[in-house]
Amino acid sequence: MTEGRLAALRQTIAAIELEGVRRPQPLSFGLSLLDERLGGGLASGALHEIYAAKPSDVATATGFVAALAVRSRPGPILWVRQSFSAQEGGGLYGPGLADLGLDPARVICIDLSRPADLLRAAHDGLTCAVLSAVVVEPWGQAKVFDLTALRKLALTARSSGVPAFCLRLAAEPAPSPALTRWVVRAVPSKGDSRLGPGAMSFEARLVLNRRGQSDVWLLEWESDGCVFRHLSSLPQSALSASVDAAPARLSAARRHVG
Amino acid sequence: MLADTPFVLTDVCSQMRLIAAANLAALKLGLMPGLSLAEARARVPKLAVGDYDAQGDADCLNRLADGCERFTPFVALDGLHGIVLDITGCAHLFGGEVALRDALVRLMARWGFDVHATIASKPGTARALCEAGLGRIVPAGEEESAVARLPVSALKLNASIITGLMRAGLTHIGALATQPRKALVARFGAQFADALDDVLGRRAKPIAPRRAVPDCLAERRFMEPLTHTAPLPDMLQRLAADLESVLERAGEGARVWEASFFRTDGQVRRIAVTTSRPVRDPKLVTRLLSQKLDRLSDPLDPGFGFDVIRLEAYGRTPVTAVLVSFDGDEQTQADISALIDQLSARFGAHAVQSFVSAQTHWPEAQSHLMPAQQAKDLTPLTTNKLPYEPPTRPLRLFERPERIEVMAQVPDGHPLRFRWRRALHDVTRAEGPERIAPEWWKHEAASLTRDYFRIEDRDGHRFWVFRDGVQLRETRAPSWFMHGLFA
Repeated sequence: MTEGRLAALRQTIAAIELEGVRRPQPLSFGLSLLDERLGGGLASGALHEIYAAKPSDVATATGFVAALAVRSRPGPILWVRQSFSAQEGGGLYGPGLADLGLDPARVICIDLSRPADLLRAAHDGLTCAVLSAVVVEPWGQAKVFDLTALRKLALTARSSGVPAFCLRLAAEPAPSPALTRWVVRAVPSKGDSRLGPGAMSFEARLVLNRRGQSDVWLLEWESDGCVFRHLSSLPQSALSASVDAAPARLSAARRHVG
Repeated sequence: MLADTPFVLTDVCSQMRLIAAANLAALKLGLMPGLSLAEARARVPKLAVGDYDAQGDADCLNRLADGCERFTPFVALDGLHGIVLDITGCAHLFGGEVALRDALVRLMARWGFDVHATIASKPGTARALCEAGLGRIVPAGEEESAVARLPVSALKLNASIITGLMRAGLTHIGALATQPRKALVARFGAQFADALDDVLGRRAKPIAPRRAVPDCLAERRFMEPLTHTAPLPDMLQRLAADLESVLERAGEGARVWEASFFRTDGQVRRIAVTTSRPVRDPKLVTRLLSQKLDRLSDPLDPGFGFDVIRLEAYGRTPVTAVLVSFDGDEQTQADISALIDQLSARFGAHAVQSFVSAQTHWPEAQSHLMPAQQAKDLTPLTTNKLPYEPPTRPLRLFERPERIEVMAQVPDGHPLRFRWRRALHDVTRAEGPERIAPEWWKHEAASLTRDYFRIEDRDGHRFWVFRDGVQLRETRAPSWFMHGLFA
């Protein structure tokens, strides 16, 4: 019964917080385990942070954000990125977005060199309620992304109901008013290895969740149906935070790839 | 006093220093432009000499022309020392042609220039009279009588023709006017006849204005110059409202809006904004212009005050009124366009981009980013990916492929192990090759055929690499490159 009363209390508080403000649908993952943890899904009018676990996981973290943007409501997406991010990790590629299920015609890209400009552009975008998502992609620690600045972003997102995703690459998680914080890491894909690399597979670690507990999941993104799926077939050892990679022997590698 | 001292400016011409310009005192002493400096110094020992700055002169003339734009937007430069204004339809705004001419002469005098100003119905006539030093107003139809007393040298022809005319006894333009055209063309050439017709006002060579003439404009003139920048947004809104009524009657909007601020000392500052769709809403236009003004790296300086503030609209196109529809698509589109315009005004049109696809299979060219305000009619991107297959193209693409060291089976094998950015990767999965040949009709530099591989390493990172060049057929030792990263 305490669970029920706790849930009711949470709803009352949420109602008080969002009084007088639009309450759009939350972004559902389509997986009951995740959606329950998040209280129905990723809240729409809020700030969510996605960190890449290591600099080599840059593309996977970007893919996770792109997948979330696809699952958000239909509409244009504003992608605000720092020019340096394109130099270090590559720029967004239209056919690549299309292959993941995100129509590149929906994306409005803003390329800026100063992190302070990124915040301002994100503000402007978040005031436009027809957008389906705003993605901010700075590179590195970016001192201007401090508590005050992120709080302003969160408030703007709340008043318009547009979800804001902060894609942090080559940065360490820092305190912020984000509703959820994820750390994304690439994992080997499953499927017939003779066909080569499989679909986007990753470990999504929910390290901060203001609506529930933290958790970690192994997921795969299927671009045709635009759905997330559990990577249940992978052995438990893949969940470890530090991967102890023993160098493979050449014969084994050749056998594997056929 | 400089006015009394003979003062000349010299320029180097074919390894000799010649006089390029002389002040009145020097001219009176017989030092004409074209005389060598040595000769001039011989005649007048106490000559003050300076360097002729052609660029400075041109800049000065441009600034004066800018200042003249307060009378009419149709201003052109005429040679090194002249400005032509087309005041058709503008004279009544200044109280008539006489008043306009007086105002112009007074303005120039205030800026420190002594000018001759001539008004005529044909540009050739006005120019000839002006250069002869006769500043007057020629009523329409009286061009021939006005120029009759000018010598034939006013026609600006080469010396041989002038000598020929003098020998024939035709010393004034009036004499030439009565000659039949065919005879003149036969004797002196068609160019001469055309020049004569220009001056006589028989034909009017069109003037090309310095700047594009706006489709419509609204302006405010101030009896007392505006010395603060605070009332500017309000002023711009009023001007935009004036233009809105004009555009609304025609059912049109404009895509380029330019505000010009004319200072009392002649300087003009212009701010322009571009919109992705034709607009006429005064609030929107004012907001975009105000944002641009706030973000100017060199803020607007009124100096001694703004005399005139003008708002010009370019690119008039019909626009259908935005009706409220139940599905709200039109409104959404309008909202997005407004956001793009606002961001473009704030950060520059080149920073706000959308994806544009091209009909090519060369990866770098297949899709690129273009300024969002210009990208129209985006062709939908077709993907090569078959259903229920993993992505064939990477999410992130490096603008310049990066060299990697690869261990692979020769000649055509996929990578087994590679080193990229100082890290060693073991390949666990590979798919390929996908052979992409360069479009030989487009690429001038000899690009080599690329064999692309999608590979995955032990940690689960997925890469897009290619081998540059087919072994033995195109190159002996092909290099490998990292082109993109898959999610």
